[in-house]
Parts: sequence; structure tokens; C-alpha cells
Amino acid sequence: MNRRHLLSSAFALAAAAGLSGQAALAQDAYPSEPIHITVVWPAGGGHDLVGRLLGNELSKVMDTPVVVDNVTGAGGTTGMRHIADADPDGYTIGVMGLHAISQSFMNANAPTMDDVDPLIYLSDEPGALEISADTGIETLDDYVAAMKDDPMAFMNGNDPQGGNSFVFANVIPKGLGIEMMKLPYPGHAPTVTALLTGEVQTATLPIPPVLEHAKAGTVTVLGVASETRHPQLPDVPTFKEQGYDIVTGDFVMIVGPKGMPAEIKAKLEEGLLAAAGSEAFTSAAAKNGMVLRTGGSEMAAEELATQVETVYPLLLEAGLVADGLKRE
Amino acid sequence: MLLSTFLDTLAGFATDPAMLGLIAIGAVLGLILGAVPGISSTMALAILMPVTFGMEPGPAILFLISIFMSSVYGGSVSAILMKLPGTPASIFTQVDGFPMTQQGKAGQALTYALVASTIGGMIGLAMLVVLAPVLAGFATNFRSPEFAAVALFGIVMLSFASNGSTLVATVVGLIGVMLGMVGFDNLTDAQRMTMDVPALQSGFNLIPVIIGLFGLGEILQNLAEFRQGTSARPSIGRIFVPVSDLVSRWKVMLRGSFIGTFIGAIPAAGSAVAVSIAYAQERRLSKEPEKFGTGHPDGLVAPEAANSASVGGSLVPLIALGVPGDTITAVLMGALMVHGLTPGPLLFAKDPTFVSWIYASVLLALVATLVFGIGMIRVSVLVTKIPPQLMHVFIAVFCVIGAFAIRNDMNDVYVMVAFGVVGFVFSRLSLPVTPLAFGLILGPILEENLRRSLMISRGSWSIFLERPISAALIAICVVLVALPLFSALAARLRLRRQAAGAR
Amino acid sequence: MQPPIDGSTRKTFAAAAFFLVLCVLGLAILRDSRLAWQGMKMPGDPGPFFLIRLCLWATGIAGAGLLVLGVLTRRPAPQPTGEMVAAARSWILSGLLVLSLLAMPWLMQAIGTPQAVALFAAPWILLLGTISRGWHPRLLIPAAGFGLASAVFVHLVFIRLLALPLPN
Repeated sequence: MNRRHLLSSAFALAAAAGLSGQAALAQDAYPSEPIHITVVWPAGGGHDLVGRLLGNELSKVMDTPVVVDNVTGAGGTTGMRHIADADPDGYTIGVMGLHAISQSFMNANAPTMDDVDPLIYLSDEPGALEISADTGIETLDDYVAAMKDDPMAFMNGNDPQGGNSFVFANVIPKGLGIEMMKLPYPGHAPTVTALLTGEVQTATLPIPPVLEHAKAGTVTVLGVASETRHPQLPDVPTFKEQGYDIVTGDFVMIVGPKGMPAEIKAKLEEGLLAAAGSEAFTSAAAKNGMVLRTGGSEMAAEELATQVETVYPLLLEAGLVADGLKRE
Repeated sequence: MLLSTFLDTLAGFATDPAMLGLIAIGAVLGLILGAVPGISSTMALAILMPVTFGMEPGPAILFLISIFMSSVYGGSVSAILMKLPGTPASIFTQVDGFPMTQQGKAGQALTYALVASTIGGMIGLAMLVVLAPVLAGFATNFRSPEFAAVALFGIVMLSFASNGSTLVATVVGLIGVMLGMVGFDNLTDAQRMTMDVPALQSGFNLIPVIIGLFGLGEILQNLAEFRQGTSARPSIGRIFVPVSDLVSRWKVMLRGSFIGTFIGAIPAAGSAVAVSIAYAQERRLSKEPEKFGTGHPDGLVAPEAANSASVGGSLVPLIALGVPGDTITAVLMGALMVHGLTPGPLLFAKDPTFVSWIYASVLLALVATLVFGIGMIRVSVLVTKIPPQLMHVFIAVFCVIGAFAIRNDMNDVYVMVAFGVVGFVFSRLSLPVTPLAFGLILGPILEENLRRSLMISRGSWSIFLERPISAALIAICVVLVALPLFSALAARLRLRRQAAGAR
Repeated sequence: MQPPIDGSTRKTFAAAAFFLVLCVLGLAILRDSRLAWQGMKMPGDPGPFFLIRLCLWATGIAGAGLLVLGVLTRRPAPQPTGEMVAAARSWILSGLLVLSLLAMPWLMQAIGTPQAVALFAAPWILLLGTISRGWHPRLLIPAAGFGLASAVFVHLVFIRLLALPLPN
């Protein structure tokens, strides 16, 4: 550690303090103001991390300050409404995942997927099945056998209805042909805590929140619900390899409000793709267990449409689709 | 072994001018951001996190912890001076802190808060270093039934937290519990009492509610009494408190610190619960409980000590389990992850220097907060020099922006104004306001864990008595409720016997 | 025995009425939410409306209890109407502040936050200054000055430095 670091930190601070100092100068060329990335979950979560890492790179690529706004509340709906209602001028974009699709069917006040415009597709977040090492079960077959023996043998921790690990907790047992006792927790961190303290024995979380615990051996990942193995856990087989056709996952994409001018949208898409492809972002993302699969707005729109078709029947079956939002 | 690595790291930090500079910058920024109403410790960390992207992991942790620790005290500054709690952890600081400001003892109140905060932080850290394995065991024994029992314990304590009728305080607390449940259910996503209104769907966030109840409520009350010639304002008075006075409150600080550390160590309970229980506990034990709420230093010292001590506690689940204990440690963990350091069982087993790094950072951050905090007292008490008519307007503006900033949601401004009216009406009706905030904090924790416990037990309530910690907590609750009733009954019997004897 | 709240019969009745109204209103709204919910409960879960209902009933019972206590301990308090009028008058200023604050979100969205803050602060400083020291045209200067200063402060600190997404 030396003085240079202090200098550079002081410099970074000064830069932060002078944020948007040059904002009002050039009004003509986009971007001439700070770009706001909306994150609909509180600071410290997975989406927040994506927003901040990507924002840091985007600000270098686009040469404009990028700030992250955590607009939280109402299960992510407040933030999604913030994005959908913003001026489509390219200065308000947001990080979105599966939750927004669920909410768009569950809450009449949530924006529908027609109100937002996908900009880039960032990553897959495959579902997985984890079991606490304390149970002594190490393979999927053992687990399935135990559950067939006694459906109450293990309790599963997952999100409340509509969250991604709730969706996984519906799809995975169906594919395995078992019944699963589901215990809801408000978010991924409390679910991990419950798995570690032994209140639940299994969880259907995506990989990032359990990555470190899986590496430490306190949690065993029984299977990953994707076509290929997870890059950070190459020893863990997929469900398909083990003979169960289960593929399900969340996703992360960047969206903006509907109606952005084509020119601005193209510029944003290009900038975001460059930021997502930068070495700093990809290495940090990989360390945190993200499975990057970046693609432009067309791919994002396609993936979104596919996900809507997967989620809707699940919600309908669980009786979660609000009255006015049912399809004909 | 850990102790020697710890001392080495500490010596390394303390002799490196670059590190000391970083700590100083972090402490000053944290103090200022924490003091701005609506900017919580969580937000201060999140805002400054990108600054550390370019640093190496060690300095980054030092810088962030320094911001974290100093913003915890910074939140108390606006609570004491303007009755606007800057962070959820400082909601009980204003109950006795603001009356002191009104009496012209703002400087002393800030000194009490700073000293209690520093000592609480040190005790919390010492307990973390010495008792980490014990605390970790304690924390891992907490499952849903225990969380529910702690919340119930808190709700029982709330009846001791305010003056006046216990019955009324309890009912107001229950109203708070109910308000905490408005919005989406955490377990089933059912909408409760929302009437499809977006502002209600978001639920009542703690910060807009307390800014309204306390900050705006106070302004509305002052305006009702605003008349010609009310421009007199309290003098600043002495700033420093005699050392002997501080020393004489060692028991209060110690109790507050213990409560803070233990409750902080429970994952997801958080500092707001810790300060609530510390305050209620101190009032219950005090020889002069009627003076609480009118500027009693003990009412300020206890929650401040608990507040800072809970930081040490909240690092326990992070270090022992690799899960964040509360929202602030969640952001801290997010920042560590950016630097490729994911706290987890692995990291701490492999890398004891990392743990001592964190410990040393906390210690130095506490010292820096003390140093810069003392310097800031002189400047910040100048706020009380502002004429009231200006102050009222400025606080009203702060209320609006603070309520908005916590979630960047305009609906929270309406919530804040509504609760300002509630605070005003309550004070007119002589109903206590504090239990409402208390219930709002504890209600959601109680409900979620109560219901989850019942799901685990398939509807059998005996689950709360089968587990030792929850059974013990419930037994304490029963004793706490029964004791005053019992002693009142005994007193009445004695009176009757005396009356009979006299006849 | 004394009336339970502050030894005042009037305040006791007011609190009792408040609790009772809250209970009835709350139960009505809760019924509405309950009917709108179509999801399913987990086995063992007392349901998302269980604890709210419990609290509402407790509030209602406490209200009824206070009413009874109030009647039992009632003392013939003099009811000077003049006091009521004075009380109502003293509330005017507070009411005005509440109304102007309620207009703030709309104003912020319409003309931008710093402008709305200036528009809010200046008249209020003028009004409070007039009340405390009497009207004088000289008051216009500090009112405009502090109004402007608060707008600049909000712009620099909250919008520039902290980059909050306040309406601009």
C-alpha cells in the first residue's frame, strides 16, 4: 500500500463529488446527462451488484456519469413502474428479472411487459436444488428416494409465491416426480440463513447466493436446471445429465421505458453491450457466480416472450393471477 | 493466535499515513451523509461503494467500514438537533435527545451520544473478538420460533417504553404492528388493506413513518403554538459533559452494549430492534422512568450504546455463516463481493488475516468517528442558532426529501405527511407515539416468523415451548406481564390489611 | 379513580372513539382484501389476515374498555366553547402546512424539485416572519433569499452530489 492509492482514491472521491458537473453543457448529443440505472431491490442484493458493476463500466464507455437508484417496495412493482413511467429519453433504464413478469400478472398496478422495452440480455440464472451437508445426502437419486419414501423428510426454503426460487420449487419437484414441502422466506439471503441454521434442509435458489457455501462444502448442490453445467461449479451435474428433463431459470436483462427514439436506443444498446463485454465486468460477474450470455435487444425480447409463456401457466395454477389480468 | 494477527494488522494500519487518510475521509463523509435526513447508513455505503472499485480490497474494506461506523453516529446528529432520525437505528435517540436540545443542551446531548456510541462500539467489537464462537452458536440457534419469541418480547417491552397508561401504550403498539403488515404479505404475497392504492401496496416504510411522526409532527405542534414573539430560541450552552457524569452511567452503557451486541448477532433482527429493546429496558430499570422522554441522559445513552454495539453483533452472522445480519452488512457484503471476497465459512477458515482486517478497521473507524465527531459537535450545534421560523420551513423541506430518498418513491411523501398528522393528533389526545414506531419495527418480524413456525409445526402452537430459547423468552414475557399485575395486587391486599388493622 | 388518559374525560372519550373507529374501518378494509385474495395458504399457516384481525379486535376491545372507564370516571368538566374555537384557530397554521406539503409531490413533478422547494419555502418564511414580528416589506428580502438558498442547497446536495432521482 502506498501513497499512490490514497491519491487515486481521493481522485475518485473528487470525481464522485463533481458528479454531473458537466451535465448541462452539451444538450444536443446523447448522452449529455447522468444515466440512471433503476434497481428495484434494496442495495446489497444481486441486482444491485449488477447495476453498480455495469454502471461503473457503462460510465466509462458512454463517458457520462451513471448512478444507481434503488426504487424499492411492493415486491419490485414500485421500481418497475418508475422505469415504465420515466421519460423515454434514454436516461432512465433498469435491471429486470423474472419477478417483473410475475408481478405483471399478480398486481393490477404493475406495468405489463408491453410497457417496457428490452435493451440487452445479460445473463441466465439457472435454477438449482441445494441440500444441507448435515443431511448426509450427496446425490440426487438419494434425495428423490428419500422424498418418495417420506414427502415430509426434507423441507424446502424458497421465495414467496411469484419469486424466482418459488418458480423453481414448482418446476423442479414436478420434474423429479416428488411432492415438496415449501417454506417461504422473504428473499434469498434469509433462505440461505435458514438452510445453514438447519430450519430447512433443501433450497431451490439460483447459484450465486450459495456459491461460497457450495465451495466450502456446507451445502451440496444436487443439480443445476440448465442445459450445460454451471461454469463456477463444473463438478455439479445438470438435471438432464441425471435423467430428469428439468430446465428452468431466472434471467437478468436491462430494460428501458417504451418509446425511446431508435437512435438513442441503438446507442444505449451498443454502450451496454460494450460495458457488459468489458474485462472488468465479466471477471467480477463470473466471480459472483453469474452465467453471462449477453445479447442485443432482439434476443432480449425473444427471451422475455419465452419466459412469459413459462411463468404464466405456473401462476395461473397457483391461483396467483389477478382477476383483470387473466388471459382469454 | 487471532489476537496477535489482529494487533499486527492494527499496527500496520495505524502507522500507514495513506490508511489513516482513508479512514479520516471515510469518517467525515459518513458523519455528514449519516446526518442528512433520509440518507441511511445503507444508502451512504451504497452511494460511496463505486468509489472503492478502483482500490485494493484492504483499503476498500477499511474505507467502507469507516463510512459505516461513522454514519451510525451521524444519524443521531439530526435526530438530536432536529428530531429527524437519519437512520432507523437512531429512532430512539431523538426521544430524549431532542428535548435536551430544546432545553439548550444540544452540545451535551451530542457528547453523550458520541461517547456512548464509541464505548458501545468498542464493547461490541471486544465481544465480537472474544466471544465470536459463542455468539455464532447463539445466532445459529435462532430459527423462526425464536425470532417470533424475540419480537413478542419486544412487544411486551414496549408497554414500558412510554409514559402514561400501559394499556394505551400497548394498544398503540398493536396499531403499529398492524400498520407494519399493510402491503404485500412476505409469505403468500397477498395484498393486505391496500385497496389497490400504490402508496399502500408499498407498505409503510419505517423511515417516512418516523420522519412524519416525530419530525413533521413536532413542526405541526410548534405551528399550532406559533405566535408573536415565539422567536426565542435556546442557547447552545455547555458542550462537554463532566467525565464523572459519563463514568457514573457505566451501567447504562454496559447494559445497552450487551443488548445491542446480542440482538445485533441475531440474523435479520437488526439495530432498530436492538435500540428499541435497549431503550425500553433502561426505562423499565430506571429509578426515574417518568423523566424518560423529557431529556433524560440515560434515555439517550442506552440506545446509542446499543446502536453502535449492534454493529459488532451484526458482523457475527457475516463472519460465522457468511450471511448478512442486516441490510447494512448486506451492502458491505455486496461491496466485498465486488472485490472478489465473498465472506463465507471458506474465507474465514482460509484467511484469518482477513478477519483481523475487519476487526482493526472497526476499531480505527470508531476512533476516527470519536475524533471527528467531537470536532463536528461545535459546528453542528450552530444549527440550533437558526431562528425557529426558518428552522420549521427547512425541516419541512428535509422531511419531504428525506421521505422520498429512502426508496426514491413519491408515495412515501404522502405517507410521511399522513403520519405527521397522526403524530400531531396523537399528541393532542395525549396518546404516546413511540409504541407506534416500536410496533411497526416488530410487527412484520413477529408475523412472518410466527406463521412460518406454525407452517413448520403444521399448526401446532407447542413449537414455541418445545425449543429452549423460545420457551425461555416466552417465560420472561409472562413474568414481565405478570409481575406488575402481581405487585399491584399485593399492594392492594396490603393496603386492605392495613385498613382492616387500623379499624 | 381517574380517567385513564391524562385524567381528562374528554381525551379518554376521544381516544376511545378513535380506537373504535379504527377497528370498524380496519375490519371493513380487511374484508375487502380478504375477498380479493385468491391464493392458497400453506398447511398450518393461520393466514395472511390472522394477526391483523387479532390486532384490530384488540384495538376495538380496548376502545370499548376506555369508553366504559371514561363513563365510570366521568366528571362534569366545564365545556367552554371559547376554548374549542381558540384550539381550532391554532390549528389553522398546521393545517395549512399539511395542505402545502400534500401539494409538494405534484409541484415537484410539474416544475422541478428546486423550484418547488423555493416556491414552498419563501411564502412560508414570509408568513411565519409576519406572524412572529409583524408585517414589514423588509421581510420580503430574507424570505426570497432563504427560499432561493434552500432551492440551491437542494439542487447542489441532493440532485448534483447525491444524484437522487428527484423530479427535475
